[in-house]
Amino acid sequence: MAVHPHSFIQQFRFGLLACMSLAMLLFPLASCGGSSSTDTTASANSPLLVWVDATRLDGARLYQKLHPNVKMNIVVVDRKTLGEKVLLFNRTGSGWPDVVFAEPNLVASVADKAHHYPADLKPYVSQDILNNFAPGTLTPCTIDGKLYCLRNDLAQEVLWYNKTLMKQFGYTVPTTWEEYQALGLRVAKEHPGYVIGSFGDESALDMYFWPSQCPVAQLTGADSVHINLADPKCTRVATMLDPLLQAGAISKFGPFDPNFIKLGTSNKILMEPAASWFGEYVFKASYKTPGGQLAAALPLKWEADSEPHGGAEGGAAWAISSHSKNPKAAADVAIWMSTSKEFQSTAVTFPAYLPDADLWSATIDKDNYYAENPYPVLKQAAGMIDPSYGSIRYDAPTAFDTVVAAGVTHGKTVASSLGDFQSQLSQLAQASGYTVS
Amino acid sequence: MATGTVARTVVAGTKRRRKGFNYGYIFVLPYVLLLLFFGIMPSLYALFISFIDPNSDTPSFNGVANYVTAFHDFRFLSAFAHALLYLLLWLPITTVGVLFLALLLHAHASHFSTVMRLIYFLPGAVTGSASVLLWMFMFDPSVSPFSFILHALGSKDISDVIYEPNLPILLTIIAFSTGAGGWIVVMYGAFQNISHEIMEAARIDGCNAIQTALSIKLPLISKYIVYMLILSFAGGIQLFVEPQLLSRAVRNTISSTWSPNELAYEFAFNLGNFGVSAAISTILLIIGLVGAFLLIFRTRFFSTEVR
Repeated sequence: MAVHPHSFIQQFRFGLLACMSLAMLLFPLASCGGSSSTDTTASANSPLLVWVDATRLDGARLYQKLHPNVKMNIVVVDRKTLGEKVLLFNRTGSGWPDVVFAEPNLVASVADKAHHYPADLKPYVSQDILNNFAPGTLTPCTIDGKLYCLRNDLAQEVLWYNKTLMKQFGYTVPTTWEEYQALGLRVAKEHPGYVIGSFGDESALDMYFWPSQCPVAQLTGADSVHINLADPKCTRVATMLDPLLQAGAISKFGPFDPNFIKLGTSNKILMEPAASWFGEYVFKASYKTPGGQLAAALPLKWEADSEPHGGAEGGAAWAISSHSKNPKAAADVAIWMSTSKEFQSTAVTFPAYLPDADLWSATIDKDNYYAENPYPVLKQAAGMIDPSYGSIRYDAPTAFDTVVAAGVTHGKTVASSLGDFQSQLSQLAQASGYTVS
Repeated sequence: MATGTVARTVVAGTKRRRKGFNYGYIFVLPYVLLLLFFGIMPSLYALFISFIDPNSDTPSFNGVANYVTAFHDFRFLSAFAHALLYLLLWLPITTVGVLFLALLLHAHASHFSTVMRLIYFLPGAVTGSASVLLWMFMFDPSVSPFSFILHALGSKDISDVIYEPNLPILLTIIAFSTGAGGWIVVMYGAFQNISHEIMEAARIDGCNAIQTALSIKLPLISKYIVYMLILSFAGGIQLFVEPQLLSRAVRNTISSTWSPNELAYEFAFNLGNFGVSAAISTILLIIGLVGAFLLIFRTRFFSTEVR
């Protein structure tokens, strides 16, 4: 009986192959096993995970200081990653932030079936508190009857203008969009190089289309949206803007584009319909408008409308997680952050909670930067934000950039881009699960 | 004894049995493991979840519904059209450009050509997103060292240059500048393998440089050219980083779902629909594999007989 002696190397080779095959088989089991287990070590006493941005960090720390027996873990994050992170946490079964600071659109995008992140705040907030928010401002937070967030601040559109330049050129501040167009054409003839607005990026949606109540994203139900860019309320905006864009009275660069900022620093911006936070953060900080020149006027009205409507550009909110082990404590944080006078009266942006707004007004003009205190205008404009723009799951502003803004930059008219914008929006909405009317 | 000799001679002409352990396996092992865990298994996993219903919590078989959804998405066909347009522009330019430069280098082997080889290779050291950032500066008329060219073409602002219809050209420029160098080095190495006797014979027969290049050198390295085509095609159809970053540079005036891989990313990480995303990824994989198999079998890539 001949025995073939196996060399050690051959046995080693066989063993190696066996190990590799075993590893191949075990790997998928290891990756599947983790997702179904839940974090049983967390209890009702585990610290609240609070996600803020750098600007709100001090506010969150203030809450911790005033409530020392609440355990909190405050983390500064880039909230644009919220959607991806929520998906990741859904798979691993833990890690969701109990409280998060995010725009209502962002909250809407994680409120869908795939993400199912925010919790309904209505059981935790009294109706009195809800009534004190500026009218219509909680609408973007209300999805399918549930209140998924509490507004932190408002970014109501007003008409910022340079009072000194207007007086110098002998112009009066317009009160209607028709007057705005006429003024723009005059400026293009008499003072070329000066601008009365910007149209290069998605801010234009909020500056021009929203105040006209143009149906870009009107929610008619939890999963249905009305989009109609052929509506007269949309085409009138295009008709108003196209001659101004052609004449150069409205810049083809967006308000944050370096080319537009250059116009600002050379003090060539006569006026601009923009959000309330532009005063401090854009005119003062970026455009470096000289002191004593800037003032605010109410949003413009269309002659055909009975009253003026405003838009808003930004404004974020506080939401809580539906997976929170301590929802009452999380809701308390959200309520305090959005309504407390300690935080909101010193906040950097216009509070959505009106009782705090009057306290906030004391901070706005303490350095006499403005030609006149803009607070009364800001307060009145806060109540004029048109509620017809709901929070949608798909990215309408980016579609605007890709279709309309890009078209205008390359010589197309706004009017001719509306058709493409309509089809892009409808398809995006349908891909996100909406029925479009 | 005679039969033993015959047997040994016969065996020598075919497969040779080695005594002892083949250390080649140890060298290949790390690559095989990485390929297994980061290449083959994720692909199989993607194939698996492309057939699963993305909306149910427990895995349930969904048939080809994800593929149908992907195909009917309004961005699907245009994304593939974009990728195809890019490949139609880039593959010929890369192939011709790389071979031309490699032939030039090989025509006169000298110190100069060695230095040039290094210079061609250097841009390849700047890879992926870093190279896109570099090119964003090159494309911006206000800061680019080549602004005189951009101004001459009528571009005053970065958004005049980075504009969606221009994307195939821009991406070709970026891909060629970073990728060509590596392939030039590979092709040059391939040329080095050509035996000097053949070159001598060609010279004696009266071939000039161009005839030598086209009729002698290129056919002899045809396998390397096919290899380059396979990898370039697969890499090109999976384009992702460059269009993503370029769209950030111009505040989203370029669609964020321009290429098929970007569309798959959108489905996975913005819509949370991993099933459709996996379907698109699998389609890309199949396209790459089909391209590779076509090239391999049409050119008998793996044949070992001497031609």
